[in-house]
Amino acid sequence: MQDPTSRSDSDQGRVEVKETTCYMCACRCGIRVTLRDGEIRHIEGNPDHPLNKGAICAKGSSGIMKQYSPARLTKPLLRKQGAERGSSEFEEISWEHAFELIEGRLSKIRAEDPKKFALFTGRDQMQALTGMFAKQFGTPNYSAHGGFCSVNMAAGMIYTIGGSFWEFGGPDLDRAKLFIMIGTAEDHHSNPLKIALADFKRRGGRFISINPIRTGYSAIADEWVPIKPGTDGALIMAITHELIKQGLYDRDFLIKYTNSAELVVDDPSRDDHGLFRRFEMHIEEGCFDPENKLWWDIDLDREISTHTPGVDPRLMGEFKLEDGTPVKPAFQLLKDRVEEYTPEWAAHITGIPADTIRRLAHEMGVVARDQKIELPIQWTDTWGNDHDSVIGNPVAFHAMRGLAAHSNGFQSIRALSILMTLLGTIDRPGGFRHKAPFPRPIPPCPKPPNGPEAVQPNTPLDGMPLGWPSKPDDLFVDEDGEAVRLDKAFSWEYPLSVHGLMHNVITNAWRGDPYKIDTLLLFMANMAWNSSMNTENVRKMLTDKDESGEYKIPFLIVADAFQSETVAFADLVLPDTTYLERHDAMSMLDRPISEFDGPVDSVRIPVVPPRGDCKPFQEVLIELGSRLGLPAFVKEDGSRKFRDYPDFIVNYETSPGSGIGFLAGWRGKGGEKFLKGDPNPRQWEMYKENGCFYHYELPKSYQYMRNWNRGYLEWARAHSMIRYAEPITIHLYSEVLQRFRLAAQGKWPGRIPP
Amino acid sequence: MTQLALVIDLNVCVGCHACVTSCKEWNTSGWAGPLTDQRPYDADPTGVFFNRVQTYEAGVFPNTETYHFPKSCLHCEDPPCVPVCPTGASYKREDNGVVLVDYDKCIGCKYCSWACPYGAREFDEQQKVMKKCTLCIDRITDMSLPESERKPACVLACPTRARIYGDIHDPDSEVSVAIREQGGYPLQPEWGTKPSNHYLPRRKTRIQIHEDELVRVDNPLKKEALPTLPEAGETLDDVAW
Ligand code: SF4
Ligand code: SF4
Ligand code: SF4
Repeated sequence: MQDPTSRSDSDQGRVEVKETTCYMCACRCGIRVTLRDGEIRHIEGNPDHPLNKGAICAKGSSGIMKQYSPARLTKPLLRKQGAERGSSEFEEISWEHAFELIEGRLSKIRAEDPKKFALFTGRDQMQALTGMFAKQFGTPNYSAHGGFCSVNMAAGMIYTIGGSFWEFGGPDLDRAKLFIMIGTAEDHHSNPLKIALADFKRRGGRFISINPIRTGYSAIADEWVPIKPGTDGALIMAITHELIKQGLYDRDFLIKYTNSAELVVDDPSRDDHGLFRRFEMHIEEGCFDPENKLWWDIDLDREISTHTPGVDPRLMGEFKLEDGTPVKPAFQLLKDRVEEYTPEWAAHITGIPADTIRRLAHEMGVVARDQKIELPIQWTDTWGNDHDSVIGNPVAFHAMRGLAAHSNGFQSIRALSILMTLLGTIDRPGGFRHKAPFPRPIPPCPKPPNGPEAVQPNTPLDGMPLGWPSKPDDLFVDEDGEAVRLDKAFSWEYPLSVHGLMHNVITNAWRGDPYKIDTLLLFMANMAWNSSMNTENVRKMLTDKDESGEYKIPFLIVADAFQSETVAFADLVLPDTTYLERHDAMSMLDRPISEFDGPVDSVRIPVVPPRGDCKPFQEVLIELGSRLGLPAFVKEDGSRKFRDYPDFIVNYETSPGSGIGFLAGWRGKGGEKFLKGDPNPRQWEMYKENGCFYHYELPKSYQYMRNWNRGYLEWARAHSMIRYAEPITIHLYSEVLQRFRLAAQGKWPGRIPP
Repeated sequence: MTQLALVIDLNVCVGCHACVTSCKEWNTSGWAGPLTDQRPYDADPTGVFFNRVQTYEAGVFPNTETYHFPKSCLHCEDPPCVPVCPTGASYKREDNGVVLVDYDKCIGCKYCSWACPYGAREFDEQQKVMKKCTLCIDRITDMSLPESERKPACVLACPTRARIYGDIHDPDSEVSVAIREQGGYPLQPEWGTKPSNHYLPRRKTRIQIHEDELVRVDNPLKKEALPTLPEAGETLDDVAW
């Protein structure tokens, strides 16, 4: 056997190393792929990448198994004449034939009733494009898989603190002293969290894991707290109870930066019960919290407008305004609410002894209060006060689907957000920190359309298919209160389903409830296996026929790289490429890979050519958009606007001349701008030269307290990341939810449920 | 003499298997490959691995701990697998102490895997030769690689940086310092094999909250004119003298 020292590995053949971005999970680490004679030899982490710093996980290295999998699809397939769905009998066809079939079908649907076309995608990392395609087509029936995954995490936190875990924010383990992880599996997220967690442990930080099972992360915890699944909300409420009882909350933080001291009308007989008492003020209409609310001044013992300099307001008590209106500070409502949620009460539900719950609360409260961090970073808040330092209460949390994927997930996560707020840990060192483009207003500005008239033949959808309702009037329902979307997202049944409800799609389309559709296009979504939680019945529904012998879901197109279970049920199969064979953009318009210190986005650049006739799904959408004449994809004369997907990524702007496109880095004619600027014809090359990512580091004074940091908010507005440089007050109390409750009680002046 | 080795920190290893697959991928198409697979895409796949993570529940319920325990060849200083080899295929390199198998000389008699008390060797059922961790000999000796990459694949991959690589005979190396300062230990020293790889033990951080830390004069409840708990009345801090 030859000695390896006499000949190095790179002498064995023609060796090349190419950089791109992993897609074996949604974490999106930077990778280096070594090719030998054009074949993949090895995949390793890119040591210069801000996300994974050279690490790679078990899945990342195994990308090679995906690339050379015998289950790859390589040709467009059409179900054989006479063959039944599910029998996997296909004939190979050309892409041209496939495009003609789809174009014929979709152009007819678009001219008649665009909502009869539905596009649903799996763990799709290009929702900015798939969502835009649906909007341009004019159908509201679009979403990715979030509805059955982590939507509660996003919604519960964003409706409370204006940001959420994972892509949009996370625990600052560099500075934390106590770290509490709840309901988190090892891929949420993966390498960055493992890197940070190990460093945190080495520095002697205390790590508590609350999880029904003791797998990877929990195994190295200093304390593992087993909990009955789905009961995390009860635990958090009991901890909140104990913190309030002991006075272990950050009063100063609550008053300045949250709505805790703001006065809420407290009279169940009134129509404005549970709403903030607001005074008349000329305000620009916009999706921000106008500062027209009241505090109760301790010294004057009367109401006063919020944030009046020098005023110390009450957090607790009940008061009568000058005009006789009974009010309570929002914090008092929280206190009332958790009064009965004692540790003993929660012990019974969660299986965690009451003493342990109390101790957890005391550890959190005392570390947050007594181990404060003060960083010498000057910043100015939105009220014009200059601060010489940034304060941190070093208790960090991380949570994921263990909380989110339950019917009580939204409220559990709101409870967690409130707990993090009580401890004063939001966008502060050692606590939770945002990642661009968050924080955003609560709730963020985009709204779904609010009536069926948004869907018109041959016209783009009037609004985004997905958005953030702030009141009943934002629901996407018709005059009778019926859902306009096939999955019934944003209906009275599912008002805040901000990621859509993909798992409802096949059942609803099969039932014809709220209506029948014609064509369903699924992209990398295996509904006949695990993505519907209803495997057996989904298979039946996909093969079920009506009296006339036609399939109840008339036409099913599946785009996938592999022979998934769902492929067998397709009428038309489109072979997608793997992540190593295509261009991709992890865009600021969607879910970028930002860091705490500033925006980061990234790309994929093919390292090997597509196998067989595989075509990236992005190219399929650009081709279809051009053929169907969707406005964003064609010039004024109706001719094709973009050569291909890479051309689209460089040249597409959200509106003509907006300077905002899919990629934030190296914009402007010569690549001299970022976030906003003219298209740059050399943008792909510049990403490639930089390891396939763009990282903008914010000045230190913009890196903390971003909900209320004037410098940051003005910077974000100037770079078109947000519309208003107004404070993003934390919703300890959610007036948004109360609006829906009032509607249910028939007291809301706008829409009420049927 | 140099003795290269791995030191694995069980305090931070999360059992993610990144070291397992990066090892497999690097080595299967490299000098020591292939690491043959049987039925890789079917039910019940199996094959050769140089490195595996075993997960144990230690202790007696309810006082148990979960351990993730990555295990590869320990590159013993006195390796029992070497003298038993009838052909000289199993050998220890003099320059760096790495234990290797020369497949050209291996006759597949398996004496070495019987002699290894740690179960570190795996027999390749297709090629009928014995295989094992090479400490990525083709990486660590490849002078065409930049120094930062002249490390085993598993070390570069490990997200928690639980795997430290270096010369345990150099008292100033990162591995020697870790063994010395963090209680590094060898596996089953009673066999007299003097394993070069070492493991670092779990460490626990606890916080002691004293009851008096809950009673503070600046308790925010006082601002609300509410009694603070526990109702201890005056504290020393309240008494002015
Ligand atoms: S954690 Fe990173 S390396 Fe692993 S699969 Fe996800 S993106 Fe790839
Ligand atoms: S890669 Fe590191 S953390 Fe993961 S199992 Fe191996 S040693 Fe443990
Ligand atoms: S040193 Fe190399 S061969 Fe040994 S376990 Fe690590 S990656 Fe595998």
